[in-house]
Amino acid sequence: TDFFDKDGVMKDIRAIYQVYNALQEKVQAVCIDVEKSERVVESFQADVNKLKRQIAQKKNEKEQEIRMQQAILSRQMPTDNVEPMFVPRMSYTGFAVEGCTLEDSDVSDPPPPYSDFNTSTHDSSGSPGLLESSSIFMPRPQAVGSSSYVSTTAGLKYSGNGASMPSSQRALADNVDESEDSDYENLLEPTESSDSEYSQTRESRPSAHPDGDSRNTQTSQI
Amino acid sequence: RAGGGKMAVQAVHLEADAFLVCLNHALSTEKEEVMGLCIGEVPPAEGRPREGRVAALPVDTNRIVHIHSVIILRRSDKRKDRVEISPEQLSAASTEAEISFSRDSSRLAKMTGRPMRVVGWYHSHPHITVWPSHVDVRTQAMYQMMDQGFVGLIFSCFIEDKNTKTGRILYTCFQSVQAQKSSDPARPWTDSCKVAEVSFLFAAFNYISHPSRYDRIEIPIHVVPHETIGKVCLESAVELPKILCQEEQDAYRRIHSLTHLDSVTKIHNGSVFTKNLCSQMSAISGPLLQWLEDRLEQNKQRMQELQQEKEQLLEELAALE
Repeated sequence: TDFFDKDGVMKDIRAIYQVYNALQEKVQAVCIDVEKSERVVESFQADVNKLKRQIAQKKNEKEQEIRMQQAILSRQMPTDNVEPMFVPRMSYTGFAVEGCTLEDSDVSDPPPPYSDFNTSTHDSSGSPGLLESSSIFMPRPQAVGSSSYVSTTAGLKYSGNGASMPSSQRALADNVDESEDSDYENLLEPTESSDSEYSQTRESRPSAHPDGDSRNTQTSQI
Repeated sequence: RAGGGKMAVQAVHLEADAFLVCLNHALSTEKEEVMGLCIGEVPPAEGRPREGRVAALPVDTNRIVHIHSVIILRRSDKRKDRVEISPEQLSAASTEAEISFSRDSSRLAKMTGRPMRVVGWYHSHPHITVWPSHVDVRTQAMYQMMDQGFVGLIFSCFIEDKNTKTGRILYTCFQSVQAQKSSDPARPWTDSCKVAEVSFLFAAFNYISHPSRYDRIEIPIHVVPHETIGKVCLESAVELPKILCQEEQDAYRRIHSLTHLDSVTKIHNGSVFTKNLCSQMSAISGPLLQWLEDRLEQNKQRMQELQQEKEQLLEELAALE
């Protein structure tokens, strides 16, 4: 009763579920706020880009206007060395300038053009080329099952229902080493799927416990 | 060169936010492979230059796959060297993806005005080379039978440079092509029985040595930068901890349903479940929450900057009029 509640569920599991659910709710709530803020940023960016286009259009119109006036003046006085002079502003509809500025789109320049070629296949030991793959150098990330965690047990492994599924649905690699220990235990004899962390027998517990206790294999069943 | 012939796909454009979700998923565990689906489109071919005009041939946009988002898949079998999903789950995920994306009123559908669909799959190779295994190539070939433009992405992570002790992440995009048959040199034989026997042995040796009849062919992949993150990608990112928790629950329930377990074993299994869930919260949920909060703060600052810039531009525009 110290470990299980009236429904037979471990109290620790209920507690961890509460923590997990609270954390997940918080993540969802912040995600909603982030999503709204992303749309607002997009909207503001679109407004800024539109204003920049309008300003560029206005400037172009003015420049076109000045050039037109200069061209008119130079035709009227072709032999005189006339300096450009400012004339009163004339109503002129100018050209509509379309297109995007460099800061217009939130998408950067498109990727480089491709040549119509077939890339050759590489040996598995070949190094990836620039077009085929890219590498990023970064500090070693911490993930589930990383060696930096206090627990030294291996990550979960499950025996899937592979026999019932067509092999074509699987993605496999060549490395087939599965000699890791399992955490969970069961009461039955070790089977092919006993590499799962979940236990079905106490006798099948791995001999290497985190604390180095070697007596586990001699414990009796309750 | 193996696998000659024209490629169905010439290049892949992967949106930066989708790339982020893929990386986040691949880096979530270094013990098992993970898998997901790529959602996007293949834009229709654009017009070609008129006959007789001398012009550079445009890129055949019909052969460029655009990946806008990804869907994280729940694994039925968690292993370090394989990742599996059931055919029913794959079909359901594909259908759900296409339906939800066609109804999506977010910038994704508005931007393209075209329905999205499943255009590829991705999986991770933790501590494994980035190149697809022969099984990966066969799996890809099977997908291509349904969709010639289907592409496969692989993310190789948790690889350390031994000298610098820095982590490396490699990614690649590939398709499968029919392997070319080996050419046997023509040799005259006077005894027809010996020819048949040798041919049979040679074919058997070839089959054992090269069980795959497909070769990989690499597709150029480019990550398209974006200033903002799409709604679908954000939802996929926060879906990750839920999926990992569901996988853990499935494993625990499978073992907990056994009736012959003694109390100590049940306590042990419950502790393992608790430990694994704590590990997920520490490695995935916690950093995800931190990243979201930082992103929110960054967006607030960006909004202020854009607001100020907008006011300045309005003043400038008014001065020009």
